[in-house]
Amino acid sequence: MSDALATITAFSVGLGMMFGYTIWVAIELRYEHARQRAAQLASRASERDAVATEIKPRGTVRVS
Amino acid sequence: MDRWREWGVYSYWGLTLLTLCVGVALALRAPVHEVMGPIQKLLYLHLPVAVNTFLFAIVVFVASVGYLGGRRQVWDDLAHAAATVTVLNGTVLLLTGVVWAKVAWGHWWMWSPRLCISLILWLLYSVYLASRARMRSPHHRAVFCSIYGVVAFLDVPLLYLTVKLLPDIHPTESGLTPSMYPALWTWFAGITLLSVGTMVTRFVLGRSSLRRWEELPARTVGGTASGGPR
Repeated sequence: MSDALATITAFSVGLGMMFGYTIWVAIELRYEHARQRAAQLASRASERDAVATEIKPRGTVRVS
Repeated sequence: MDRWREWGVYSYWGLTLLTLCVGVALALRAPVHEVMGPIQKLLYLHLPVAVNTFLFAIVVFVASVGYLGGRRQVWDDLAHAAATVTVLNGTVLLLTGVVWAKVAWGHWWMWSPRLCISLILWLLYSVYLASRARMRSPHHRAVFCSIYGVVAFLDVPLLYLTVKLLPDIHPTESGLTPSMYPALWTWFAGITLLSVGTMVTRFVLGRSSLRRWEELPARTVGGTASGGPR
């Protein structure tokens, strides 16, 4: 292996590892935020459904 | 607020990429070392990752002491994020080191004091991360890892003393000429920006996961209510 090739390989693998890990963590963070947002929306929707089922008709309006 | 934060994050990573691109250009333009040849250019990556390994080991130490002092989870999360970056930088340090050793000395590895203590440093922080993954109780994990983080840090001054006191095949002088310094400083800035950015991203991820854990409804496991860590 020539010196230049060894240098380029070591640079590429080293930087690739550092950036690769960073990108992986960033994707995981995005996924985590998306999951939290989805959980929040689901919780709000279930609260809304609960309120809607609690509303009951209070009687009939008689029109004379 | 979110838009400003997003803008800040993109600017930070843009600056990091730009710094590293300028670093690559400067490294290509820098003169080739008369004795060592092109392999000497690995110093632009090898030296910054070595310094960053020590810097983030110091962060692990400070955060571990912080946790032991105040028992606040944020310190443990910081120590975890810093340990990850220590191992990452240490891996690149060893990788560039063995390639350089093969070209310069004809061997991938020499059992010299400095190389051995660098390997021990990498192993210590790798074991730190592996232990974290194995322990389930957040409180016990934080206490154990904080004590471990303080003890593991002893390897850093030991490595420094080895450089100063023991004879070694590994050179102490960088052998750089003044025209090579701009490339080296740019690489220092780029690698430090990349490492800090990775640590902050890992820290935010740890905090987000913790928040989700805390929001889980308390369950009864084995007769005791288990909630998230405080």
